Amino acid sequence: MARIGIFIDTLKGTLPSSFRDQLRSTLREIPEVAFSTEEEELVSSEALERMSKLLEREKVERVVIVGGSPKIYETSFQKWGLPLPLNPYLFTVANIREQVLWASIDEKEAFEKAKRMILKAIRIASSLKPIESQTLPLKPEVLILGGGLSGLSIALTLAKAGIQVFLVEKEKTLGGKTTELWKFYNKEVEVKGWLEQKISELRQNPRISLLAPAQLKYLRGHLGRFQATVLTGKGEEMTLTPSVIVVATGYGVERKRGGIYDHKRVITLSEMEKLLSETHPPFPLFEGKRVETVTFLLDETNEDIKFDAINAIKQSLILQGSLKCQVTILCKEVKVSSEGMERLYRKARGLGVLFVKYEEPPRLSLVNGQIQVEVKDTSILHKEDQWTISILSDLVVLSEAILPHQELTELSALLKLHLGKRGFLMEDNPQLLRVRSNRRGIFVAGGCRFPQEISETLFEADALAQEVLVLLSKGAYTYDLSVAEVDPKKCALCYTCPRVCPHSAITVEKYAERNVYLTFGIPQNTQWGAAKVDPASCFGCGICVGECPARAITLRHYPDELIYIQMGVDG
Amino acid sequence: MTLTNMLEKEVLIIGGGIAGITIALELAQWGIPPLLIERNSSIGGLASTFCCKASESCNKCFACVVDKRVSEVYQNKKIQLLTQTEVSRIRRNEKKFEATLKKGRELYDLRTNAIVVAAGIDPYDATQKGEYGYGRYPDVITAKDLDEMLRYKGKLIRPSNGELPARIAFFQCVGSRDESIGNLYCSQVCCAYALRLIKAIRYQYPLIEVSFFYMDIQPAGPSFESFLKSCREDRRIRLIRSLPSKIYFSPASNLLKVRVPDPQTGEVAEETFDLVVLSVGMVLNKGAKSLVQWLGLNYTEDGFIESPPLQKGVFVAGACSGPKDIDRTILHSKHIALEVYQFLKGIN
Repeated sequence: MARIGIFIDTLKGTLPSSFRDQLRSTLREIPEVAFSTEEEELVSSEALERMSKLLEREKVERVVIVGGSPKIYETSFQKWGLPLPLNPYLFTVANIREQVLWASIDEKEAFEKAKRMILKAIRIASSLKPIESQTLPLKPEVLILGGGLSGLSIALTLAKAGIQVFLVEKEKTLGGKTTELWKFYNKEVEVKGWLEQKISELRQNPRISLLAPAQLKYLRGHLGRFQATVLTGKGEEMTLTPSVIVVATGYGVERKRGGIYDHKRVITLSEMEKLLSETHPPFPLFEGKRVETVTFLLDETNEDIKFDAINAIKQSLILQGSLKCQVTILCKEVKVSSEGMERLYRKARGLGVLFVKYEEPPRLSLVNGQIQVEVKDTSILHKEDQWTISILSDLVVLSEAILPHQELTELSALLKLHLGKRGFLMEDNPQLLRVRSNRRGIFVAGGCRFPQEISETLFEADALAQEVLVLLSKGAYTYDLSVAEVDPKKCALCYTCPRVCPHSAITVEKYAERNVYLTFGIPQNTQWGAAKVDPASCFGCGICVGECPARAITLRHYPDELIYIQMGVDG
Repeated sequence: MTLTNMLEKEVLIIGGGIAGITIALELAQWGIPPLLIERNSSIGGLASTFCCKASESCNKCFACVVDKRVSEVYQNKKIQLLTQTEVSRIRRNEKKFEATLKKGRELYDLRTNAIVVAAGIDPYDATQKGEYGYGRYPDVITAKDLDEMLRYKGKLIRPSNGELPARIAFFQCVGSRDESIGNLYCSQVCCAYALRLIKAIRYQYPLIEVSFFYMDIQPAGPSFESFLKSCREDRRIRLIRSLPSKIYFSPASNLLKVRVPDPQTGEVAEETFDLVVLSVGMVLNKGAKSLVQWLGLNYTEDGFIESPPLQKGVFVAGACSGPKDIDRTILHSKHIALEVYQFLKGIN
């Protein structure tokens, strides 16, 4: 029988004294109770110090706190250090304030309920088991997938902080989609030189091993013990053992095709960017002829991507401002929610760039070698009076559809990461704070999560680097074993738990000595396959426990018997 | 009698909003114990007054993340927190900074290596837009008032009579993208913020009709497209591209009259609303002005604080460097936390 110490938190006197006297006289009759004592404010550091001394002297094995919400005690324990000379999992709380005092009016009834709750808490306390913590060594090695802007800047930041980085890029060249840009919208610098400097810095850094072209073929293991097989361009297979993996594989684009959209005078924003970088004033040339009118057609697919509007306005300023063109921008919304964009938008309007917001998709047709764009003018309120404007343009510039990269589905299956509704990598659990993925030790950033403008991509890359550095800086990851655990003997290998685990912490491995479902013909010294939870990757959510048909899985910090006691159905 | 305490810290973080909190927590993880000061009696800043804006499911407003971070700061022993504290002076002394902090009658003399300015923003003062009658008509409120009403009162009422409103109008871009008041920037968050509020209200009160008046709907993050689609599909939400110029008050009926174009026919008609919510934009926190002066910082064109060069030891984080929502403020603050770490360790 465990000796239990009881602390009654009077919560600054809000627990009435008559109530407390009754409680204490009841408690005296329970044999397990070693002592019960009262504190004015148990969450204060002084009270916790007294508590610690008392526990030391009385040699109790379990602690029950009678008072308010467990949350306030957990908070103060975390802040002031645990006052218990015993395992932190050996205490339980009876929340009398919220569940009894706030809920009942009748005093007698309230006392009976409180008594029941405390008795339950005592029973729970006596069946609690200590939970130890474990440490997993983490060597400072990171594998980054993708050599675009995100991957590059993360690699540089990590390497500067002393981490060995393996950067795997599918293509021969680095820089990804950023190489298609000519100028920044918000500074007078060319992207090319800026990017090249980053790349040369990266190539010179001895801590960065660049594998390009190369591809991830296979991934096994968990945080701290990943085993990644990378196929290099020469067809060789390499095995890397990074502690952490960063996914920054970027996004894909798709250009609208078919009919008039295949015409050479219908180009994309990145083709326009290239044309502008090669243009010499006073005016742009297309196939040797002067370009006088340019029409941008935006928002046909991506309503939530901001950078096509940024690029279009940036290009229109150059075309209208210094290259003597007449520019029209057709869009659904003018997306100016980036720093300085409202000013650029007004500047463009001041220069004479026309903005038309359309509702029905504009129609394109070929007229005398020029592209005619027909669009309804929605600035007129009366629907019947909205006439169609037609614009003859030398060039029509399309924004491409921004899509998940075509290989992302395959990669997400390889890495066991979740894909969102639109096929980008999942990020939307607010509590996991964006750059963390559903698996511990795998981080996501850049266009494979959500395509963004350069400066925002850089912030995100830094935020990711910060997360990785903090994780690796201690050299080890320490965690409590408050996780799910499989009893390998009971496992029927139904593969339910690896499928339902949202954090991919469960794998099937050959480690079981015996399996109850195989009753004969067992050769000696055979290890049987069974599900296995990786404790460092488990979040302790308990989904697998509920799903396991064979009841082979238990939560170490919340076994079934505790739930039964709590429900009062254990007889 | 004033008491003077001496303090020596590696980093001083000015402002206990979500930006300051995130940086304090990140630095504490590095083992750098920061000093976090906040003018108000509790931390969390503007973001901690926001309510959860979930409808059928989470709408990713990130308000819950703030509450969690706040309690993490209180639990963290490495973070020294001084609330009700203001900076009364900062001076640069060679490579260090000397600051005098004032907490009630106590004074603190602080020496520190780096300073993070996370002063945050103020919602735009809607009384300056006199034509909307904010401050004169009780049923014209700001989106922030509405948010606080939902968070602290737990219900939606008309301030004039305490009844449930049946027709609500949201006016966007109050104090943003407005040449007449000189704010030539988009506050970036208000579209998504107002639409999330609308979704939350519509979910709680299925009979309420909402009209949303806007210039352009600005996207916000990855799940915005499907969220916007669900708003468009809701037949009791009208999205109207037009900003009304004036609100008239009719005392006899206690209703607000607005001239609006009908999105179907285009006819301009007078409509009445029970409640008008102004989506106010962001302006730099008033208290940040003296900091800018003492630390020799500059303003951006839009009146926010410009990020100084790295080697100076002064960092600007969060929305006081330009409009940001909670999500991007957290990302930005983590980026600044990394810069602070690199600065202190001499990595560049």
